[in-house]
Amino acid sequence: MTSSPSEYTVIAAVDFSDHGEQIIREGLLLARAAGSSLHLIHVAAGEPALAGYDKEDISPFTRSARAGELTDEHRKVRELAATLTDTTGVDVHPLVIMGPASETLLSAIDELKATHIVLGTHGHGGMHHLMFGSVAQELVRRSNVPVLLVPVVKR
Amino acid sequence: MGKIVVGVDGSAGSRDALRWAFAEAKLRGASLEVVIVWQYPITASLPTFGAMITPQDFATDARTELLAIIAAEGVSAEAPIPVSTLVAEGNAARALLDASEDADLLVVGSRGHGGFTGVLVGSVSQQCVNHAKCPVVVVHPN
Repeated sequence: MTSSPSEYTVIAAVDFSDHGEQIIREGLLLARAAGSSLHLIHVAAGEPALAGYDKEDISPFTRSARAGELTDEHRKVRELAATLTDTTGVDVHPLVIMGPASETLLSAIDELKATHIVLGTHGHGGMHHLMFGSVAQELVRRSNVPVLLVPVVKR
Repeated sequence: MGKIVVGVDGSAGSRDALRWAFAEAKLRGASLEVVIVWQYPITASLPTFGAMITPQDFATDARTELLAIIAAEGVSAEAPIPVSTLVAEGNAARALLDASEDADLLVVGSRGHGGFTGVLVGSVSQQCVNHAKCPVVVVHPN
């Protein structure tokens, strides 16, 4: 831990579960106290994995449906970031990245030179009732920056 | 005023956690509670009567260590925020969870003294993450 407070760069990883609000709140608390910005990252699932098929074999219908979803997710993150910037005074930057969640977040930490990452303790992968989500577990194991884990438990 | 709880055990990881928690408490204007936990050592046979170490001795040793760590990491008595200490006996995760019952953040190092080779995330931090009511920050040694 050598980073001085003013050098904070905080990432909050959000999906659009009802849990998201708590994650964002914790991210904003960190960022606001340090006077830093907040990167709101939504990791979108990649293309539907159809083992044994060439990508060209995925029906145009599936593809356009997925493209529609992505556009929608992207719009939601942008709108959320804009609202948060207006209401909290913290600079909130929206980002949607496609890929496997833990790998994607780990490279986002590197690329954005993030000093902190905030995420929920339920993962995309695995079972929802696993309290320590697989994504969170991977991040705790492999990231070099402090990981703030927001519990699923309702307060 | 918010409250941040941090667990220390003298390991490098927990010292990083303490420094992070202190910096964050100052930024947020929150109070900081530094917790150290001691446990009876498991012995194969009872020591001779008289050589038995009393709970008071363990607790005193733990407090001495805690104050030394706090001083070494620059968490001074003249801190701009209230800093309190807690010496608890028993299971480390249990004690941290109890202490963080009404906290805004619980801070732990990614790996303390316990655990064995191959376990990258300390079992204490893992239990805290699994059971804490408040958000948990796992701080990694640099």
